[in-house]
Amino acid sequence: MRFLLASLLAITIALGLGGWSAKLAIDGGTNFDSVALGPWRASPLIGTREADPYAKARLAKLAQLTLGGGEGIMFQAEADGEGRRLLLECTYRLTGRTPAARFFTLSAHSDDGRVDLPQSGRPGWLTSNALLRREDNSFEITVGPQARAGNWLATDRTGPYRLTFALYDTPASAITGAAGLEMPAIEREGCSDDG
Amino acid sequence: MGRFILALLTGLVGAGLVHIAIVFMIPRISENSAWSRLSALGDYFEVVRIAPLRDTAFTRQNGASETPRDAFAFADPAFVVASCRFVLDDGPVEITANGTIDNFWSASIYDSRGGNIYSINDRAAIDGIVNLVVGTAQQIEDVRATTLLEDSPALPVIVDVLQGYVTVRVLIDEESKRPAADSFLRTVACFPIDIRPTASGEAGSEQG
Repeated sequence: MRFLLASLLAITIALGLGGWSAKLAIDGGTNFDSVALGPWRASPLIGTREADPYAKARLAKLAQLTLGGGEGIMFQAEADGEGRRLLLECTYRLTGRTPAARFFTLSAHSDDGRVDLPQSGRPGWLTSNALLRREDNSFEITVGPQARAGNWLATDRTGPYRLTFALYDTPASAITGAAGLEMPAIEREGCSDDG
Repeated sequence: MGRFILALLTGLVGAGLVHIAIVFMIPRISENSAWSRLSALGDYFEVVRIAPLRDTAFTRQNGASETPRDAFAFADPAFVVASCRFVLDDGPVEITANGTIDNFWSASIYDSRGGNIYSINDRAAIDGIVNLVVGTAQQIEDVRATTLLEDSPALPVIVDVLQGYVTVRVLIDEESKRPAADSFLRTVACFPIDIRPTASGEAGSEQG
């Protein structure tokens, strides 16, 4: 009887703790090989065969079609320059430069990968081909719920989200290339109170 | 007491094993992996379209209660994407599209676990034409022995898997470019090519 109880305890711990910790590690995204550039993070190895087992498991659960090295690389930011979580009801200013690339796109996603497309008529994504730039090739993009002149990415509703900055046809895709590159800074301008 | 501690330790070691087993099992059994989803969308060699996974407000508006099968996570809304699954049992597969398009396009080949094996963009492709011949090392060698690749912009791609999937993405800078990109993607075709000699001969040298 005692033996049975002990075995039962061992099995419960094994399945419960093992399952729970695996789910936590996979959903949380332990990206051992991610590269951080300010608030931006990229995983050059994601979607390759060299990715770590957690990244592979996460990919299989998400059904994400990762970009190949010859296509581009995707950076994501969950927080602004001061480390505060990005919120849909807040307005952000992105300034600076990007690594050399043929073009880039900027869009907003929820944490589980849903693209945030606002009502029709409002820009739900930006591509650099239509971007207004300063004389020194730097740019300024406003992300937020209120319409702006210039480069504006519209957000809708409220809650946390992440900005997705994808660079296409870029040498930054190479694993060693992602370090020491420059990405735009994210600065919070303010948040609307009417939410 | 000793028995209790032993049970606890056994449980912890077991938890470690279960943890590792789950992490390694998921890519094989996940029903939500890209491969499983593409399998639900179409058969081998059938070209299907892939949409970005939309926000909940959008899905609610359209009355859809669950995630659409063609929706993929963290998709770039600035792209339209076509995909097809292939199997190399009956020879190499050719992926083509009619004509060229001014917009940026790129293509990727993945194995069935979602690992990216090969990718290319319009500048790297010959004349900007979508035309890939994908096969095993032996199959590509067989194709080279024929005249199929002569005077053709087809790029031979050697892969070390027998099944996988291809995606072709076309950029839409602005909404106005969507129709052109859409109709370009509609011309994407994905088919096995027959390179076996018609006679019972073994080598391609017979052709001379």
